[in-house]
Amino acid sequence: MAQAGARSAEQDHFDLLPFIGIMMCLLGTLLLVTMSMAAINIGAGAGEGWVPQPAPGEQKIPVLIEWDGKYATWHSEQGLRKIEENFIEYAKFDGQWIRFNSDGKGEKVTGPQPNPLDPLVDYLESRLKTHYALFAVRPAGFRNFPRFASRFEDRKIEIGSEPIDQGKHVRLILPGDKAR
Amino acid sequence: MSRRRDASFESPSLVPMADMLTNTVGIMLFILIFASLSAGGVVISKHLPREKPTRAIAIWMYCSGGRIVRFDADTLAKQLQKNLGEPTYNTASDWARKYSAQTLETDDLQVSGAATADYNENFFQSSVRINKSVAVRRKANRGDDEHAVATPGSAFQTLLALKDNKADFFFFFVDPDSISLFRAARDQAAQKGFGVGWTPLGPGEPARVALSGNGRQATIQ
Repeated sequence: MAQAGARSAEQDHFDLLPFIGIMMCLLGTLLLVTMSMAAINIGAGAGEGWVPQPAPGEQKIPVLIEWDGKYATWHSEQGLRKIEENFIEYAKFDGQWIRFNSDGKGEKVTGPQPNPLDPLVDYLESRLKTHYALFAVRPAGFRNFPRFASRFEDRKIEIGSEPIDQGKHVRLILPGDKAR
Repeated sequence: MSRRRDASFESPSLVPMADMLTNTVGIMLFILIFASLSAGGVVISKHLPREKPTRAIAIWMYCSGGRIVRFDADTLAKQLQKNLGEPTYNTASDWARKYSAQTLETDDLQVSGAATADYNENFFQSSVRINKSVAVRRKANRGDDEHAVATPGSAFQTLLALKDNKADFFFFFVDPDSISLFRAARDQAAQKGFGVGWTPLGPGEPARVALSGNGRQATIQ
């Protein structure tokens, strides 16, 4: 009788351990997903949204241009425009056009040819009093940034620059422009 | 016997367990959605820089290898040329060549000179302009690291305390491996009311300061 009673008590006991195990696994998985999402959005992979804080008297509108050493990514009103910089420039000396190639060597040419960056430079040049070029400079673009920036400075376009990590996304958030 | 055992055994209901599981999953999903939505809107307020000329005196800082050092370009140039005498029209090329061959070392820095003599000759007058610069590299393990720039008593903090935020501004040469250090140092300088400017350098490139000739003017942002 005593044996029969013990067996009956064992059979009545319902083991919750497997269910707790399943629940813990589920919790762990969801926590991992949550942490991963948070890390992507605010951790190492986070993008940056730059909000201008103009100083008194500074009302110029920044035009964000990412520079990675080879491509300029223009954050235009129509969206992102990625433009390759060929470092070819033209200058006029004594009535003669000189083309400066990417290696810095000059040669006489009949006249300047269109450059892929012309739309961007022209856009800023036509808005000298209201806009300026704000460069987000990535580490890969550090070495040749001064040369790239001189294309704008030569046209009297005001510039500013800020370093940004290589893979980090950046966007400009102007007042009333939250989604840009 | 078997019938009696079956009668005494009551199968526990899984409803509370299922309820708890679904509640937990629901809460976690809610947290996940909330975290994603709020994180997606993270923004960083920045004083978006625009270069401006300044009449303040530049305090040159070189950030590389995660460390920052200060250098005084004028003093270094004087040391480089102290045995060269004054250049003249006739000796300018030779002077520039000798200056370019000069090197010196300080506690923190390796310094070298670079100069060219540009002659301008026309019918009315002849002149020469010497374009002179100093190139600076940091010695290994010299300078303040990112932690030290914010630590009272460090060389950088001492420099901030010594300088006048109306008369001086900080200009940083930044290697790609020292972006976070530059930001930390710039924040410290800006907090003390100093104007700041910067220029990027290629990896391992020295900081070059043009002292005469066609060098680019240092600006604040």
